[in-house]
Amino acid sequence: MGKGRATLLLIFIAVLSIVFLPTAVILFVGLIPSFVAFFVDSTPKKTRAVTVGSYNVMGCVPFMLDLWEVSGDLDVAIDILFTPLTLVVIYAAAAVGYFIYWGAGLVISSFFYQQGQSRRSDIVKRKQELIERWGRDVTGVVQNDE
Amino acid sequence: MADEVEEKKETEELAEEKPVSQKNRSGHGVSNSTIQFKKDFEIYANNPVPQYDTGICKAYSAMQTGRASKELVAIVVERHLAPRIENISRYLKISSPNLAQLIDYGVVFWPPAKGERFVLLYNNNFGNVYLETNKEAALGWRPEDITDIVAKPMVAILKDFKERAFNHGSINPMNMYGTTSGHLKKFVLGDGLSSPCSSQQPAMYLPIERMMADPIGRGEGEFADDLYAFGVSLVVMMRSHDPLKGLSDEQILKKKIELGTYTALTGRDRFKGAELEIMRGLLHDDPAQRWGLEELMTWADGRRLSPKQGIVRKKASRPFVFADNKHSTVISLSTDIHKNPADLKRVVDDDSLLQWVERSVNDDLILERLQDIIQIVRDAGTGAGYTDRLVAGVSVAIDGNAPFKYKGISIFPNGYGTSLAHAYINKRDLKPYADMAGTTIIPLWLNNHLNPNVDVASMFSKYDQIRRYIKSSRIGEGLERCMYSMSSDVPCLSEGLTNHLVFRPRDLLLAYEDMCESSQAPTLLIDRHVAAFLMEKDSKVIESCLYDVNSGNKAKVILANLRCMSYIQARNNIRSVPKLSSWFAKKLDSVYELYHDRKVREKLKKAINDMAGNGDLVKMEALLDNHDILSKDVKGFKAAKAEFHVLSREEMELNELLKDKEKFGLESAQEWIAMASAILSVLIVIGALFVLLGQVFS
Repeated sequence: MGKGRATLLLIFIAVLSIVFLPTAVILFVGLIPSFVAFFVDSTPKKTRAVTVGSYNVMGCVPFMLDLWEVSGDLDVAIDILFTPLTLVVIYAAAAVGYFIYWGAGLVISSFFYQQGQSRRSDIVKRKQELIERWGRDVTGVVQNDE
Repeated sequence: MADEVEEKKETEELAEEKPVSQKNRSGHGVSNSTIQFKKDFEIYANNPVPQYDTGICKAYSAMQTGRASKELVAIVVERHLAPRIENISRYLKISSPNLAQLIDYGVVFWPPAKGERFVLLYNNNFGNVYLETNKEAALGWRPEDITDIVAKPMVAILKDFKERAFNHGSINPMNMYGTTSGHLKKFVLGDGLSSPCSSQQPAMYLPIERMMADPIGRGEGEFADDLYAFGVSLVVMMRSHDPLKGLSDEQILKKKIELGTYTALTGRDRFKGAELEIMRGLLHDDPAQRWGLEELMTWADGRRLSPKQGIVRKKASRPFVFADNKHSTVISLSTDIHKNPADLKRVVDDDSLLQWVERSVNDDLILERLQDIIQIVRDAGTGAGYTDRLVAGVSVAIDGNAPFKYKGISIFPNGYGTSLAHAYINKRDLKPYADMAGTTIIPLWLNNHLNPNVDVASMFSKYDQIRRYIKSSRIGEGLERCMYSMSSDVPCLSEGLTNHLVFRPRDLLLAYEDMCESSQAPTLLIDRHVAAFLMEKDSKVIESCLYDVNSGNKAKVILANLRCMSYIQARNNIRSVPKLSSWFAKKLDSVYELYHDRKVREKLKKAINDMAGNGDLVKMEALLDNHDILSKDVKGFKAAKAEFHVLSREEMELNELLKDKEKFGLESAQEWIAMASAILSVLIVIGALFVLLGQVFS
């Protein structure tokens, strides 16, 4: 079923690419970092690919607006692509995505770590409270007579 | 008037909060030799009046103080005797100037014995005793005087006894009063309540069959015994010499068997007329032919009856030699059997006994009984206990009126309880009593005895009951229960109550209160004796506690003790026992531990300690035995355990994850970032599209 869907999607994208060729050309070239990220991403949910891809898309948006504002021909698309600034901006956006993924990840995971430690302390404290209130029997550990 | 005395006593006791003994402890009285008994009486321990002693129970001078001041005699009951408390109400209903007037009774702390004793207070209208102990039992008085002064009043008293179903058991000239300088002036019959019926009666005054029983095992006796004792008393008063002087009880018994009671007692004295009639009638050795009340009253009315001839005992054509003694009658033989069990076994096993009965005694009924019983005993096994069962069976087979004899004990079945109590107090071997209760020996006696006055159905029922009790070793049953069920007069014989006399559950509670006050409380209150005693006196206070008492669980045991005492307090309207409640408060640690929640424990402990001084065991018990609190505690504990378990698992997982600081939460963080980036991206794309659309339409 999954394979079937993927095939259907690919066919759909292929058809759209043909119909909207100029946009597809810009996206195809501009989203190369995303494709690379997708393939090198080892996380199960492809979070890196999603992050880089999101920023990559954001980088492509102004240029696609330029294309749609004019006529949307293929020539215009190619002109836009071969303008040096275009690829710099698009790929820089992708790079920002990479950076945010790495940096923010460290910051947030450090925050989660602190939270985890705090939670552990809370658990230990709560367990101690339970033992003080209900006795060691609350641990469920059977005391052997010596 | 008797009812008024009873009612007044009951009301006073209910109103009094202190333990009985506490009021009379040394230090509360005037001095150690003057003992205060209740509010109105003083007993003078340094002023004994031995002429009023009843057997081994000593008499002392006493006084009713206050406006109705009068001289009294106090009979102090020995510790090992059970006074006839259940018969007191019947006695009080008998009103006669010729009967010792009971003024009051109860338990008192007796300093000379350093313990509690039961005391009976009689109005001192006695005069001098008829016959002093150790004097020759022959007064030689004129029959006319005896008839007018003694016999006729005695007949009236006996009529009252019969109507009230009261057996005196101590009718003898040493317990009759009213002489002046040795001359008969009046008649007052003395105490008959201070000891088990007939237990203090000199053997001579008992019928042959009752002489054979141990004094403490004679049982409640019958009205016929009082008639017989009256007859013997008349003989003693009239005769001028004592033909049985210097003889032991056993020798007197043999004389009576050999000669008949009348001949044995009268010796060479000759009587005629009315006195001959009454003595012959009352002293007949056949219980079926002995005079009853009707004949006695006919005699008292002056009507003449033919004098009864003495029983003619069947003598064997040849004597039977048993244990070096020659026996010409079966009754004579029956008196020797239990002393020589080994010889009996021999004569039964070699059939010499049966042959003698068949060929020489010539009594088919006795022969048949003997054969049947020997067979029954053999069928039950010839191993351990065979000889003892043989003694029990053969003695009743050859003498159907004889008491039950087993392993040196000789009792009537309704004397089992008092005999057992006596053995407990004197630390004798109890196994014979357990055997009697647990086997079919006594039913064998009941099936074969000949006394028509024994209530066989009732006895069978009682023995069925005690057979069930003896089979169980649980607290509340066993040999102790057998004892209390067979004698309602026996006080509680718990080791912890050595210095207290407890006849009722109420007394028990007050005794413990007293013991707690003097720091002498036992470790636990309900032991085997207490449980069995309470089961008989008021099972409602103990029955529901027995399971926990037997449980062996410390908390449940102490709680059961508290529950039982609280029931006694409630059912007897005892308002306050502060010392006992304080004692309990110190013992409840294991009960608090039943509750898992330490906060609940602390609250309970505080509440109990606050109420300990009030002496309300009912409230204490209600607080500790509250199923709602316990149930909530159990639920709370289960929830806490579940929570602990969940937390432990979470902690374990966290510990694993926290080991790698770099990777902790990274995945979650990356997911968050991806999600945020995607959302941002979508928003920007949508925003761009709106801008574009705006430009197109503008």
